[in-house]
Amino acid sequence: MLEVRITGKTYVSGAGQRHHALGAVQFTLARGHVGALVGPSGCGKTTLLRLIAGLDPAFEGEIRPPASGPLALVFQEPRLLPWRNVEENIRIAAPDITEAELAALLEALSLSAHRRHFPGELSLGLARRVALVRALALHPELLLLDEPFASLDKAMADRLLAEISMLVEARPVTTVLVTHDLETAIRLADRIFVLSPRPATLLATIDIAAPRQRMSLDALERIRGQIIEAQHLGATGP
Amino acid sequence: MLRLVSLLMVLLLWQAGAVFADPHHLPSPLLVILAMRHEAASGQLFLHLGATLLRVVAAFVLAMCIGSAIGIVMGQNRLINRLADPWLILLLNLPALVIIVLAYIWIGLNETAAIGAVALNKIPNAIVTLREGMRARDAGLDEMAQAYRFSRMTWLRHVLLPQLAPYFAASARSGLSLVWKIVLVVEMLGRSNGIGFQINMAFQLFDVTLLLAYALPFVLIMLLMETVVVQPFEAYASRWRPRHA
Repeated sequence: MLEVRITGKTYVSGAGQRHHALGAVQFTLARGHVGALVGPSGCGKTTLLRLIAGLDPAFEGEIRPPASGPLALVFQEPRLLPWRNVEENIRIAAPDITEAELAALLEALSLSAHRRHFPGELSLGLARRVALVRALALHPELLLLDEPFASLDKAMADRLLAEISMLVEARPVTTVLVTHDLETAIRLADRIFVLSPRPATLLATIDIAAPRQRMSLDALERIRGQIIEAQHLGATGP
Repeated sequence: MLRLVSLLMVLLLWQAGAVFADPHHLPSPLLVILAMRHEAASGQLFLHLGATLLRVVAAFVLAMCIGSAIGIVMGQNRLINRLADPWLILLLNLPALVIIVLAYIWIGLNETAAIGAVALNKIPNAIVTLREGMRARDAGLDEMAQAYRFSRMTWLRHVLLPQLAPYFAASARSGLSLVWKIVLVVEMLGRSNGIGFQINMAFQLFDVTLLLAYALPFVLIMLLMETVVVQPFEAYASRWRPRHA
């Protein structure tokens, strides 16, 4: 289980001013479940993800990652090493991966043909997938995804979304997904955390019953309505 | 190939100039080559060439190692950078001649002073270049390395050094030319062998042919070093960059 109890996060800008990046955000996520952090752009979702990843220890509160397994973060930009090819990029991050595992992962994300390519030779969509493979190759106990579909065209985003949901079904891993797109959140998440505009506070937690593939359009619309209502309430106050 | 044509052009211009000029002021390439052969046959050329080359290599390696290490630290640590920056500016603006003369007076007319003085002249340039490289590196990749718990060695080898490679190459290229020029001054002032010493002799005799016979082989060796060491390293370090037409 992932437990997040943040009471606040401030940082001091270059001019010496204090900024509130996050307010109170407290939630739990069961093992193997997917949680989506949904909120307007710039509300502090990425900051929150960086705190969960342990990249920034300066905050008030406590975060308990699940068990002791490794954690993998897929950044908004692929952040591959440009001077290493696809395979090397994966192996440097996950030195213990076997050839069979690597081949299977590359196959699952249709990357087999690009194994020897350098990141500069890949489209953004392909590079994002490599970044995803790099994360999965670690066998993470906790997977953090930051806007995995941002700046991809609709077709590419849909394809990657389908691939990720297949992977998540095939081998459950506790996943926190940051997105501003409600559809992505509804299609992937077991639990949606609705955040307010900056500084983000948790407005509502919405559980989505599985299996969502068979969910009716009505049900999907109802969840969408719930999220929008929570955001609206958060903006105007109860 | 284009480089070869460009070099041939220099030779042609020289020959053309030599036709019109007083041979005492500008001897023809052939005269210089004959003088070179004469010096080579007596073994003098190799003796002096070797002495200078050793000093260049020693001073270059010393300066690159120390300068790069300091530059990397200064590029990474703001406090150290602010403390050391005034020293750096002082050293950058200290004339080479002042460093050389002081080194000879303080340490003595020996090899340590000679090599040390040359290295000290190159170190600030290496610091500035590598510090720039450190500052220009991709912070996103550092964060990725941190998130994926890269070991210090893995980070150094796969994240940091590849980013610094172009800066190492730039620093090596300018360093090689700077170091060998200063080595000649050092030899002229306080050594009894080396190309600089021989050039001083040629100067006292006003013998331009002898001067060129010693200077040219060294320029050629430096050109060769650049071609067989620096350029292949650059090509290797940037092999991942997509080629643009």
